[in-house]
Amino acid sequence: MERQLETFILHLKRKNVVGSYQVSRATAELLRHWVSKEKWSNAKTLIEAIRAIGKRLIDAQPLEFCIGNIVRRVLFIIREEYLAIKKNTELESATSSTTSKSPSSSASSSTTTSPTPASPQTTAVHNLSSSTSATSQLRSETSSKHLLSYEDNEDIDFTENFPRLKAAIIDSVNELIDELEGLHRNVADQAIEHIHSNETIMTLGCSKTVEEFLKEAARKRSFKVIVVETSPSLEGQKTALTLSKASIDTTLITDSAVFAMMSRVNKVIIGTHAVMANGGLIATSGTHLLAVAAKYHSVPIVVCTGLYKLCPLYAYDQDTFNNFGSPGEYLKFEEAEYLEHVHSYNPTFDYITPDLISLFITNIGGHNPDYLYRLIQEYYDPRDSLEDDQ
Amino acid sequence: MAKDDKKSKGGSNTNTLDIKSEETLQAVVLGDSFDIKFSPVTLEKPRTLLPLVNIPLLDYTLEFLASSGVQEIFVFCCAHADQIKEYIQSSRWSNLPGVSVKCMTGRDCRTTGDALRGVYNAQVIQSDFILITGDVVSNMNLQKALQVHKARKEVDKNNIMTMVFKQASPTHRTRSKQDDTVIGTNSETLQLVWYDNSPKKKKSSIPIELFKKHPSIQMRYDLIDCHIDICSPEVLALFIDNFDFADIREDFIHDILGSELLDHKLYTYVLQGEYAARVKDLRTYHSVSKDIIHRWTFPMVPDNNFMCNTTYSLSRQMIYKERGVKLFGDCLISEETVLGTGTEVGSGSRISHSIIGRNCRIGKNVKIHGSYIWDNVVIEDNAVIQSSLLCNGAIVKSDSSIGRGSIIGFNVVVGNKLILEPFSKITLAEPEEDEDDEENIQDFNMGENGKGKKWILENEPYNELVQREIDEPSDSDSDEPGSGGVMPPTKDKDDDVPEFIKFQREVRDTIRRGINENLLMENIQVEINGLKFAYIKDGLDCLAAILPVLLEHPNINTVSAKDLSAFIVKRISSYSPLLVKFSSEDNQVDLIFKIQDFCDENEQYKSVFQLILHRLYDNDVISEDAILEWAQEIEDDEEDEGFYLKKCTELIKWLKSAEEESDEESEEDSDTDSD
Repeated sequence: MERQLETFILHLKRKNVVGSYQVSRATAELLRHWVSKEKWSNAKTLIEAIRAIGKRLIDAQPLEFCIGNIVRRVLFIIREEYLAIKKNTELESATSSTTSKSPSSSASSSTTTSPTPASPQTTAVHNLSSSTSATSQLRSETSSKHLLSYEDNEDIDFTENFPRLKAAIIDSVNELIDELEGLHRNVADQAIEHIHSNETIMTLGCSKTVEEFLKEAARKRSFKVIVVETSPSLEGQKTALTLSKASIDTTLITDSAVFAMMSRVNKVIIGTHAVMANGGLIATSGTHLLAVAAKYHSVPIVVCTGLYKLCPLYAYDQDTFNNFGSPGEYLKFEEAEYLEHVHSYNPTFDYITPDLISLFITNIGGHNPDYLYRLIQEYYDPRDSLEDDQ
Repeated sequence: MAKDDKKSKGGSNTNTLDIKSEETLQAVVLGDSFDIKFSPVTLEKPRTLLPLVNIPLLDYTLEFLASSGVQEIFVFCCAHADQIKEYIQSSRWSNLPGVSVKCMTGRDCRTTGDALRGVYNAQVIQSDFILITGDVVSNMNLQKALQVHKARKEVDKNNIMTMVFKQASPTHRTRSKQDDTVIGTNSETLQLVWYDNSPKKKKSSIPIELFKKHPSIQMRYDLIDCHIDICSPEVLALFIDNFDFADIREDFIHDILGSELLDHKLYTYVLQGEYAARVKDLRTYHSVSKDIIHRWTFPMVPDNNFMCNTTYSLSRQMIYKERGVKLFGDCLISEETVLGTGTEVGSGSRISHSIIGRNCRIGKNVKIHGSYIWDNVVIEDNAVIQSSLLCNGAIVKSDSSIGRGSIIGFNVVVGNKLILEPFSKITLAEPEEDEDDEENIQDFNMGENGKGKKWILENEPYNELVQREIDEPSDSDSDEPGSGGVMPPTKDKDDDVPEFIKFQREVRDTIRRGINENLLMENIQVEINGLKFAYIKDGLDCLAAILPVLLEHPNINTVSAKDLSAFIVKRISSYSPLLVKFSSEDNQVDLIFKIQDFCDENEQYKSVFQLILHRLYDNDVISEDAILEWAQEIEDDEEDEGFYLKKCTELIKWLKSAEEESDEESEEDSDTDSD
């Protein structure tokens, strides 16, 4: 098992596994495997072990935010399942024998009745997101479970041993993997509501989610897409090719033409590398330019993303979460001697502040950037920050 | 089990195919460089373990191989083998999934050839393997090169090796001066047909027969030899057959290209976008470090922390810092700097363009520029370090200064207020007994509390950490390939010879060739004119250089006076057109003095001085005015004994009479002359 983990870390390091989706799936599968194969006595030790693994994975590739997100989701699942089972068993024992367990059960019953102010709000939001009924139902179930236990779990130590726990956790992780698998579909299902006939859409970079989204919309509507080529990786060219193959009216433009073209665009639809806790984005470099141009022309910016890209971190400037690639992507090594006194920077990402973004379309529906903090509370446990000791 | 059944059913054909696809990819890493380019540093530590941007060189090579899917790596070590072994055992290479790293030792190996014979004898190589030196940094896609190699081998079994080259400009900083290689490839097949690696020579001549086989040959002078070779096992066998092969590049390739009997073929693979370079000497150490900092080697950059034991992060201006770096007060860390963990920098210090290892202590007001400082180095207050290399544990006491290009060995102590001049190399290492290195190490005053000895074996100028400034202009100028204009042909080039002597030699050679080969006068003149401009000389210099050659008689000591006279008459009259070209009214008097000097130096010619003058006059090289002016000057000069004047009295008299006859008005002049 350790060896498998090492291999995965190596793959991450060497970038053999790339793309948020692939990385997330691989991480979730690895953790599921770990939970089922490795020996652990109770939830506490399991949480410790998963945390340790999570830290190693994050250290291997700190900028693949979704690794941390998936680890946090799994940790959350463990706590949640533990609490659910604990509650069930307590209820059972309370009903069968009232004498011995009375103090503890009264404590737990007091927590269940404790006020849960967030509850109506959450359900209201889920009603708003009308399209994905199945997942949202699932979520509201789990989130209500979570909300019941949220207030009191400071003093729960997760040390009790429940034989049922393992199977329950594995089931939930499987659900998580299913969610990952279905998210492109879930996001794309909402396309019809956002893209209207004869609109002009601008996009940039290469995002599977956006591609599926546009293709889905193209099945019912006819619209134009302007693709920005996204130098230096030129991933936009790939997107343009796939879209035009799906018989969408596609135009490819250079990065410098973004502002000039913006005035005739109705909507900007982009993907992202990660969504920050404040609703900001870490996205391919060039996105910031696009976002500012769109803001200037008052063109709405829609971000298509899976929930797994939402991470409880804050970026406060362009450099906090950034990576710099090789200048070889746009300079010739043969000429490097002339450039000895020239600094060249090839940042991989841009940070886009939340005020530039109009709407997030996730696999559980559309959200305003201001609302994302709420989703974070709903999916992650505040004790599971993995980056804090940097 | 089911799979096994399938295999046996499939018959022999599929069976072999299966075996092929299951071959483990092997690589041989040469852990020794078999040269002393890094001395005195390599007296104590093998080159492969020297830190490059704070990570041992070997790690770059191994990581490159491992990430390209190599499953079995053999590190062949000779010098300091135990150190390399120990390192591999203690590092993560000993326990990494997907790849096994094994050490092989050959204690008495002296050359690469010995090492390869050692590898052959160990009988571990089963199929095509990668041969690489332990100091290569690369991010190339090795699999692609391998596929190309294998595809070629399918077609022709004789393709035994594919060499990887990286394209760069001829003067690129990462292109080692030391391998000034000219490579000829068949333009269509990329087969290597010509390999010339002799930096001393300025030209490369290809035998014409080569074109019979290869109708078009591409000559390239812009490639970096990455020392990544994809070899067939036959290569090792060839090294066994030819036990005198020492080096791959020098012996093996030349032999393969030269021999007609065995039809072995070598191919090239030129990288365009990817990076690959070898840390071959100090200069390339410097430039590859720069390439890493500028991220050409991405993803092999410090902040990727690929060895999992570093914690670098990058901030703007290419500053890489590990966690746990302490910066005090107003110290200034400027661009292109790397700082390892545990390092402290005192207030007021300035660091730029430098790489600093772990746990270094840097005092106050220290200035460090362009230097490589390894682990656990202590630099006390007010020290100044310029473009130097400081090995582990070195101590630089306060107020001292280290000049550019210096190398400070392990644990050396540079004393208080000591000023080390540029390019000094200090070491504490004791030379091995069986080597005659003793002369290379000299006691040296290392200042107050100092410790260390001077290493005096000079490096080649191109193998210093930074370029030497002194002979830079002339050197780099003549190294510039294809720089147009007239280049002095450098047959016996020696930098110590002054320009004038060099010029004289060139002229002498030209004239001699002219005389021996009966060249046309015009051609000689053009050539000398070219030299005149190349060396920035005037007509007088040319004449002064030409005349002695013209006049020299092959058997000057035995020849009779009569024969000598006849010889001179003949020479001057036949070469007069040449002389006339370079003579002008201003330089004729000086020319006569030059001839006088020449006769002074050569006893035999004293008797024919008048004859020479006369012949020159007759052939319009020297005018009568010049001769008379010369005579006048000699007379005016009281110190001059007038030896030559006496010799020429006849001529002068004759000249004067001729003048009087032709020009009556100049009576006064001639009167004063005769007084």
